[in-house]
Amino acid sequence: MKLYEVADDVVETDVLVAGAGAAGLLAGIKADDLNVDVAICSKGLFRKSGATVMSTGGMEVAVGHGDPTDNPDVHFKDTVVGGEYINDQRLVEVLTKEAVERLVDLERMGIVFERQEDGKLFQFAPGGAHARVVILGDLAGSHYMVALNREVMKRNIRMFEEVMITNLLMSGGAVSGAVGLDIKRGELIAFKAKAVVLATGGAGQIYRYTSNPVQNTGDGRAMAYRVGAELIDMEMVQFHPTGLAYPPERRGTLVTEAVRMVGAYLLNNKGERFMSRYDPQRMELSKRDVVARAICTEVREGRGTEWGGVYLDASHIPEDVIERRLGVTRRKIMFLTGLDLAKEPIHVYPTCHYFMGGVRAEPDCSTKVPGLFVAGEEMGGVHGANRLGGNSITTLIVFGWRAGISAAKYAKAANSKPLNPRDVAMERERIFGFLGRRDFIHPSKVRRELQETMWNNVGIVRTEDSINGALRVVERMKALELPKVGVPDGSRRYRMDWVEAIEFENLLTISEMVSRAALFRKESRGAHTRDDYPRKDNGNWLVHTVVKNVEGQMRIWSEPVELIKLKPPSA
Amino acid sequence: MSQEKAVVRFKVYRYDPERDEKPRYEAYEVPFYRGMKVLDALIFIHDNYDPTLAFRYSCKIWRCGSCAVMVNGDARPACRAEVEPGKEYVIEPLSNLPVVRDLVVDFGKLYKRFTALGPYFVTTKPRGEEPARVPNHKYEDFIKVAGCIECWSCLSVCPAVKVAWSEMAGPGLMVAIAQSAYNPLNEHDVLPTAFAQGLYSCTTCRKCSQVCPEEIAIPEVVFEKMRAMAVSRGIGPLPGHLVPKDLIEKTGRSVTKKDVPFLESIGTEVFKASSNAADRVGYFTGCLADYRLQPVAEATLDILRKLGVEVVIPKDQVCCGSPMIRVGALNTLENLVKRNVAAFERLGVKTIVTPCAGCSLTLKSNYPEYVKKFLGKDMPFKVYHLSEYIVDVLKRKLPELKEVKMRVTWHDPCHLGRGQGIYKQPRELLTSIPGVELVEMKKPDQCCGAGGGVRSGKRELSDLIRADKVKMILETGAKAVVTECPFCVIQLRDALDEAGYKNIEVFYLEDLIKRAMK
Ligand SMILES: Cc1cc2nc3c(=O)[nH]c(=O)nc-3n(C[C@H](O)[C@H](O)[C@H](O)COP(=O)(O)OP(=O)(O)OC[C@H]3O[C@@H](n4cnc5c(N)ncnc54)[C@H](O)[C@@H]3O)c2cc1C
Ligand code: SF4
Ligand code: SF4
Ligand code: FES
Repeated sequence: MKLYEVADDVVETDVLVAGAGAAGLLAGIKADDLNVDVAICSKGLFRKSGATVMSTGGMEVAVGHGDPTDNPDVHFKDTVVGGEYINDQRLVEVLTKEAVERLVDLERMGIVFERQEDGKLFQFAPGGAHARVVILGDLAGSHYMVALNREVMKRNIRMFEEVMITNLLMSGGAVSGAVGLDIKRGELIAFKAKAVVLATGGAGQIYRYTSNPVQNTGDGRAMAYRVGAELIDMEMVQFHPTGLAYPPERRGTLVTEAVRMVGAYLLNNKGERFMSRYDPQRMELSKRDVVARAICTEVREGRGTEWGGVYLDASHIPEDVIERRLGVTRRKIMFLTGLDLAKEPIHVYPTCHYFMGGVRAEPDCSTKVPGLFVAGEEMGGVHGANRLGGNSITTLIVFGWRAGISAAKYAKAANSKPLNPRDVAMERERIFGFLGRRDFIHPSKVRRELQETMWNNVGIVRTEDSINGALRVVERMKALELPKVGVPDGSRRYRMDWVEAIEFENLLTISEMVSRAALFRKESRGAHTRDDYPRKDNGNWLVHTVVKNVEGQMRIWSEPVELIKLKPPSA
Repeated sequence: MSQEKAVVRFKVYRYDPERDEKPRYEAYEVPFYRGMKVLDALIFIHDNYDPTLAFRYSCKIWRCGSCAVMVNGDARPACRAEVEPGKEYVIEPLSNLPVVRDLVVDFGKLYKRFTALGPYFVTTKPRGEEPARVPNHKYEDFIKVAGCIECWSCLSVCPAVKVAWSEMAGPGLMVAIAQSAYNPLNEHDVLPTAFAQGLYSCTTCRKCSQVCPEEIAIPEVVFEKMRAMAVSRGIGPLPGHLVPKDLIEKTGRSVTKKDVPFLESIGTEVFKASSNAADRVGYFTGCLADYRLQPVAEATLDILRKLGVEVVIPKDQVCCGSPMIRVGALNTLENLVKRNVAAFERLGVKTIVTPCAGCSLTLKSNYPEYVKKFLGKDMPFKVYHLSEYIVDVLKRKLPELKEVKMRVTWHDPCHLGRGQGIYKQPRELLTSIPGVELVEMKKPDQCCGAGGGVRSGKRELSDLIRADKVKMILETGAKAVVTECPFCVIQLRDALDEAGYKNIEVFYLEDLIKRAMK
């Protein structure tokens, strides 16, 4: 069996990057800096797919222009306190220190930051903390993607657009490449690579309601899991407090925190500013997990609106302030809901936003699998049990950068390993097996059921029973539906349904990880709320949950968090 | 009561170049809900009727730019395109690009073009320890273009790209160049590339900004702004633009005289209305009605007086400056603005009226900024296009109209329609003439190719753009085209003449009204 008999195309490179959000692009750019050959793949369009392009808020960098009392140490503390002390503090140390350096590097790639008139950076304070977030109007991520994409083009780095990496290939216990589906042509590409960087972003699509874009199906985490990497804290899923609750068809769409920062109130159906009962000090600007839980409780206890949410009311704020600070948001909301933020309340409910849990990595972005590196939201451990707004972009930049350097160094030192055509053939069989299966189940059907189940059972608030209910569905789907998922055969060009079929197994794997980890952690901490264990338990649970594929079985255990710099007050 | 739920009908372009001989359109009915967008309908079709329907999307909130398609002939992100119950929508892939399948196009050609343009960031400064110190106002221009989501809607509706993409990179790509040009820290000089790749090929027709989901004022903040930068560095304008520039500097008019200019022919500057009424306006003639199309000026004066309006015509008024603003030659402007303001203020004018699409747009949209800049005050006049003044302000009917039996079609000048939102007013005047039968052409607001200095600077391109217009006019079977812009009149006349249709007349609206009023 020859490689070119089982793959339509064979591509050789030193560093293969899967995912072209800011993390992936920066990894590619830095690897290119070290003069290795780089190939970047993205499942969706370049510059457009992924979550980075959607982010509006900006990035946390403690450069101290907005607030002279701010510095990386303060940023470190905020991040670890925000993460409820289960962050990997080594990663947080790198994050907060190097963010300041990267600012200069980003500017040298054409990224623009809003200034003050004295030429210093403009920084603002989400949630009334330190003025630390650098912004560009409400463009942030979209602008980063434009600038980084141009940098990639300028360097002539090889780009594989609309190529979905479907599985990693291993030789002798190390990564040797990956298989990708060229969606436009419906053909299989075998990538031979000395190192692979996974940067496929979050996995919001396991939930019925999410702010995430359509590509965020957790492919990277699932692929890493399949080759034996460890994942940590997968139960830690951030629900952003304000997703749209109305119209129902757009439930989950993000309403930026900026609305509350400008002074909007959260009201229940009695017209009460209910946050006074949950966090009288910080009110609407309390931590994301606190606000999300509060909204959830209000609705559960019958104080919600007719659309199953609460009101987000900005009508008391002068219209010119809204126009100046939230002009774009106002128009988007108007367009999506028909409601005018400046005049009437809108309906909001939490939405799945971010995965704090992910592939376990060292500060150099390496994983337990030789040759496999991760960056961006794919990486676990940085944010612990809750992420601060603006800290994700920082993660993409700092660790995208590091992953590129580490992968390039590794690739330089590594020998090229041959691909086993048999592995490619197996993957081909799996991928093409979805086409023309008899009595097939359409992926969009089972996907929806899975998403509903995860939303209802392993969402904002969980119990042993609800999680077990989800696991029963997952097990049933693995046994009965997964083997039947398929799509009609015929032309293979640009088959979205085929892509959905391939994604489905990944969604199942991620759902199982989240559920098992959520069942395992018998306490409530940050984003993880167990109704049956409502308190935080530092005595027993100041730990990471670790998930690993051991001979086809999902194993889960805990490991203590190393508190190298900051300890919780009581510990 | 009917149990039937409201539905929306879609005709969707289906094509797999590998298997199908030619594209076909498939009809679908999708249940409607309030707030539904074209993208929601496509997802519904994919989930419920045909999972093989190919289209792109990602963010669903017009942030990513993946999902642009043609909706009833106009490009826009599908997630940004609203639908109404009971209507039918034709959904097609973006034009000007090859189709991969159904609504998915191949961007390969576009990316090649993009890399060739190279709108990159370059700095040679040594890396410092801190971000550079740059005052925020230096980013003002950058901010105006930074929001582009690269949906490429604009590229597939641009009339210049349609006929000559090889010489005109097109609006979206020029936005990318502008982003480079306006970043104060960028040392990469992109202006020569911009110049070579179509900086002067834009007719400022505003079709791109009309479809742009981010409402980027592309002709102004991209083309005109970069043209001004090019002129200040001696890269622009084109040789053809120097003629009007010299003329303006010498005579205050952008064209040469033909016959006795209108302003020289009138004895007085103040014309009492035929009946005594309180309405009093200043008439801004513009260059062409004064020097070349005198009958239009006479007709305008006549119409206004018959409508009971006192008309004031300062003889010392000059060119509004539009031809220079469009091509970026801004140094003539201060003089023109000051002279015009002084001329109309001298006669106590508060309201200015003009039948010229270009002048009215310039006075409305550019003068406020320039009056502030050169005279340090707010624009002292209200400005109306003549048709707008008659229909919306006076709200009067044209008096004593005779029958003019004629089948006509209407061409919307870009600077009147998209520029000022004036579509229905001239049509109302036109159809109030007894005997006139108005037959709309396929795209009455498609650019004729004359504007933005393209006719004067790039005649061949201008000719290519207008060809489509001639076709549309002929399809209507009309005996005449009526419009409301001197450049359009001249352009359409030439186009019809050269295509061998001397028998089809081209009217300035006021000409036709005058004929009916005699
Ligand atoms: C609406 C919204 C607003 C946000 N606002 C902010 C904010 O203001 N500040 C902040 O700090 N964070 C914010 N976040 C979070 C932040 O944007 C994301 O966490 C971050 O962008 C993730 O970046 P990434 O590079 O890891 O992955 P992404 O940007 O998600 O990119 C993923 C990439 O991987 C590709 N991909 C996926 N699967 C595959 C595969 N199998 N093969 C190949 N390629 C694949 C995709 O096509 C895409 O190119 C926001 C998130 C959302 C959704
Ligand atoms: S204004 Fe008209 S000609 Fe100019 S770029 Fe836009 S669409 Fe093209
Ligand atoms: S300028 Fe507007 S229409 Fe053109 S690509 Fe950018 S966002 Fe789209
Ligand atoms: S889906 Fe992103 S712009 Fe429409």
